[in-house]
Amino acid sequence: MMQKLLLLLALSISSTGLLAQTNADSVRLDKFYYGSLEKVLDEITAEYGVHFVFDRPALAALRIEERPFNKPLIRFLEQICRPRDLKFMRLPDGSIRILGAYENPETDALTQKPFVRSGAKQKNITVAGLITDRASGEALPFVSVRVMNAPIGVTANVDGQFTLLHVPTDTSILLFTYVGYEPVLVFLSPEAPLMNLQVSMKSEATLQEVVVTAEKEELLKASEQVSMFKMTPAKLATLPSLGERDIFRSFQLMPGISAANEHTSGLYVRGGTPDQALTLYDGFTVYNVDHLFGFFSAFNSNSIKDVQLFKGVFDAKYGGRLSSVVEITGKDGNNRRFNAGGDLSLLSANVWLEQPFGEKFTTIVTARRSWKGPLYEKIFDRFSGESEQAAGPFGNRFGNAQVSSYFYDVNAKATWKPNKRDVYSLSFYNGADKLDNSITPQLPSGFGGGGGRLNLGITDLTTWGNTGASLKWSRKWSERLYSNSLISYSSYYSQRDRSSSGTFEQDGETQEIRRGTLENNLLKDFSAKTDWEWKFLPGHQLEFGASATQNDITYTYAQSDTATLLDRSTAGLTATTYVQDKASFFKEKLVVTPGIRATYFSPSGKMYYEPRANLSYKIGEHLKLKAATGLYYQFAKRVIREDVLSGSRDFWVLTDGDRLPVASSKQYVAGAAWENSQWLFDAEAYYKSLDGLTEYSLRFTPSGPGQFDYEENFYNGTGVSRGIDLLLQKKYGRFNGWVGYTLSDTRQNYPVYGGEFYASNDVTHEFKVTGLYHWRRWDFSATWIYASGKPYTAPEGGYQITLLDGTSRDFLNVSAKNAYRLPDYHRLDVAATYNFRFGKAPATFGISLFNLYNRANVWYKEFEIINNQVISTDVYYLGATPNLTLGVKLR
Amino acid sequence: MKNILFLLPALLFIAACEKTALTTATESVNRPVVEAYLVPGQIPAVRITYQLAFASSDTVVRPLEGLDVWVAADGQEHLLAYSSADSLYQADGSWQVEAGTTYQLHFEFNGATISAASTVPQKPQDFSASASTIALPQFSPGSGVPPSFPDPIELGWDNSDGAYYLVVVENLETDPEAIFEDNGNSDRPPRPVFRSEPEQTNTFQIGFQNFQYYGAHRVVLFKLNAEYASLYDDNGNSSQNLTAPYSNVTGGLGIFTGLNADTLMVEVTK
Repeated sequence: MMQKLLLLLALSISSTGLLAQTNADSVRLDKFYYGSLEKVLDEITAEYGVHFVFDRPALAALRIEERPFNKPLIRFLEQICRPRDLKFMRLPDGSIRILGAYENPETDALTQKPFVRSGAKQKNITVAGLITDRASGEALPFVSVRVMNAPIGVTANVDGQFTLLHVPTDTSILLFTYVGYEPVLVFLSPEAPLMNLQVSMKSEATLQEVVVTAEKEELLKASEQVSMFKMTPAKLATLPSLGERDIFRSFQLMPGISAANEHTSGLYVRGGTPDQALTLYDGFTVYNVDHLFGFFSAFNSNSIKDVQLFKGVFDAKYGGRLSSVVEITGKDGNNRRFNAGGDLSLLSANVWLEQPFGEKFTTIVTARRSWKGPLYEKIFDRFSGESEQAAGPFGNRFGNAQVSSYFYDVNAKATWKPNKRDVYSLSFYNGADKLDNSITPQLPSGFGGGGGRLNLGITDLTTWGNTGASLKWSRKWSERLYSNSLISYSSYYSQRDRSSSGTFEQDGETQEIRRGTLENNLLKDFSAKTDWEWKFLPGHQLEFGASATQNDITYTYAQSDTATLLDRSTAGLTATTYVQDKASFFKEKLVVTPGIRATYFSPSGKMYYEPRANLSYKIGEHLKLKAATGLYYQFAKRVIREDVLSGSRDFWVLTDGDRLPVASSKQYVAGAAWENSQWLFDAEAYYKSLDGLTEYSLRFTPSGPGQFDYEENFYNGTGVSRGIDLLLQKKYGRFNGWVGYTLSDTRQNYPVYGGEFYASNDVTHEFKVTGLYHWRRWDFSATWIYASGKPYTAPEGGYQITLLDGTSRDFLNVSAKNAYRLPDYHRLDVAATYNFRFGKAPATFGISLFNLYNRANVWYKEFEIINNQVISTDVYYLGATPNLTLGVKLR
Repeated sequence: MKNILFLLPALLFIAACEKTALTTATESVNRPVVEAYLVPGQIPAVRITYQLAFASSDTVVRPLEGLDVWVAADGQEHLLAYSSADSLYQADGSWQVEAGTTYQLHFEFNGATISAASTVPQKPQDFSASASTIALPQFSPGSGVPPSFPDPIELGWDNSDGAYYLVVVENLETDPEAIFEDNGNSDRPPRPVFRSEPEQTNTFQIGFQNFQYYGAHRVVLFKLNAEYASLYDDNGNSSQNLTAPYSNVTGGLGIFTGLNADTLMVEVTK
């Protein structure tokens, strides 16, 4: 606020106020102008008597050198303003005001508290408008808008548009808040454009001192809705990171989301698994979120504008998943001028470009690719089992690994806003990983003798990737009706070839051998959906919509060229419609959102109904009670292929309502939040039952001896997850951060595993601390994570049975499912970020240390059976790992 | 802030509910291993041992003593007595296994009930052999042109109910003479026994090459239940996959099965 006042004082009218005003249109310039823009404007005032209003310190910093030849003043101003991100406007008294390209003088004027408040002329009015980012002009989604001293508030839609009904008077005060942005107060006046407010919000400028005010920007926003979080990608840079700012890794610092999973970016939310989390990027579903063994998420934070996470009990609008929803909104791009930037770390290089075409059409492209820096090598070696702790999958080998591995991703988006009502956007994503650990052996000469010649190669190749695209049309039909419709395509593939193959020449004939594990999973998703919001009555917002998804999923699993165990190809249509009413009562103290979702799923030929309800009640100023419940179904799911010895894998399948049942979940959440301007304390307890879970295991012979169908090796089970999430957050100040704790108990029950057992992702206690400290140009941060060990299954012993012929047979036995626990997991990460200017370009330099005290956290155990003895090897997660990051952008 | 503190116990209550104890690693590794074959005419006997844990330093299987082991049949419960000499739980001599009867085993161990059940099959029907003697010339491999060999012996029986059968052939001589002379460079162990694997079949061929010794041979045909046949499944002790061994003992490991048998004699001559 202080800064704004200073700015106001700095705004001054040129000193020659006593001179008669000249009509600016008649002025033509014809000489060489150079020096600061401030000096040049003063010079023009002195020469022609045209008055300018401008921000002196800002314009004093801009230099020009121009030689207009008999050029009209107005054309000259256009010429100098546009490249400098400025614009100008004529004031009623004939003077000219120079201002920033994204400043909206009409609304900006409203953000200053008027000295005299005029009397209200209208009561019970509707206020509508658009919220944008001041630096790029991009629309900001999901901004919270509230009327001060009245229980009226609303959240802007994904296109940044908002409508407030029943605002008490046309002199009310509105408060706009958004994660990572400075809050804005707007003082309405009868003259203000009430139906077309253009509010621009300022992202926390990294070079400014943080000023403590009543409402401040935050990295994280919790407690707005039951089990929901918001995060701002722009501020992620200050958290410790391993090479890349990562939105998914940051969510893992929240209570209820497990962090002890370095091997996947996927979200284990409240006992759920990553495939039970719906990930939407600009409306299309992303089926796999991992890069490089899951160490990084597939999303480039430079392309993300907004992220919302629902830890469960989500609205009827979302479906097809049991556990959680992550909705990511991509950036539209700067709508004024070209901008570009990039980051370089020890892991990857990352660039982004923004190019507008006119004011209505914007584009943005971001791309990154790993490079074989020391960090990439370290992670690759650890996760491909080549480190000293983890013996390679094939033991000692001849020859060298000809390793060629990388990941990349590309995001591109084009947005067209032909008018104030419509927004069209086309968003595209493509990313892939190739991890190659194959070996070409150099066999000793004469090896494989006996007259034959042997060529043997070991292939260890894993590739996967996602491609997605959506074409979206949003329309604001009226102040009360808004729609958002899209068509989308998404595909995911995963191939794994861990085999030894070779040609064997004998008697002039070439024989081929190939043995190992060959897996191929391909998923396609064609979707169309439309979502509507209708404020049909005071205190009621009706949301309804429909969607259709055609899924096409294939999976093959073979142990050699000829032994194909599984070959599934399934397709099916999911058609859904939903309706919910967000109703508020008692001056918005009580908000109830009942809803229902109905789905027809073609493979089972059945209808599925999902009732949902969500309730919050405010007691006094600070305390809020909340509760929610719902039924959830999942039609495409990921099945774990259990492998006790070398680690389990998973693959996507489409359920069929028979051997692969449609998964379902019932959830109950109750909690409370206490919040003031400085602190937030949030507590939620949850209970979740799961049905129709599926695993694939070859450990059991389903139908007795003899031939059997490998399709029978799908086993179904149920689950229960319950727990408590606690969050204490210091929201503002030079030092801020949060502490999260989760107590949970997650069990599954598969008859084939002998009944109930702890789920593989069960973590009893999880404690996380995140601290952020800002000092001058530095941002410091630290996170400490502690999690109880996860359960695992191990070969545990053996026994002998004497057969009828007097001989005996040895049996190796595997423990009860998940009867053992890994040691507890903990680690400390720290980071420091220095903000500076590289020439004129804003830049950051970051240094971070992952796992500072080099804790050896066990990822999993590998077992090898040699002569009926079990040799167990601990496979560790990453030890202490430093990283450096340099980021620069044009503006 | 005070209000929230009152709420916490309520939340804890919701999340707590009742929890049942799950199998721990210690309980898992201590599962008893049962071995019992119920043969008509014999006294019911059950061997119960610990499994050999990889984590322990034990090298010999330890018998599990001091249990109250019950076997029920025809509505009557019998407590078996432990014989430390044989490391066996045995019924008293007045009680014998009968064909067609279902036997149910149960005992308590570490607070859990371990149980199993099996029905003793009827004696194999119409067991016959195509010949009762087979003449094999003595020869040594690689010593020139092999002599001509006789046709195999065909065994046959009735299997209209699709049961599992297994054939075991034993040489009954105390000091048998080998058919194939080794060249003195092989330390071939004596093989007085050979056997088939359980199959749902009604024939079995004993080829000349199966016989290693001259003399009297006993051919035993076992009629089996599926649970015994499952013991022969490959339990995949490779690093590609590890298979949990099959067991019909609930809460434990091993086998508790009934079986029946019939016998023929075959003479191998020069």
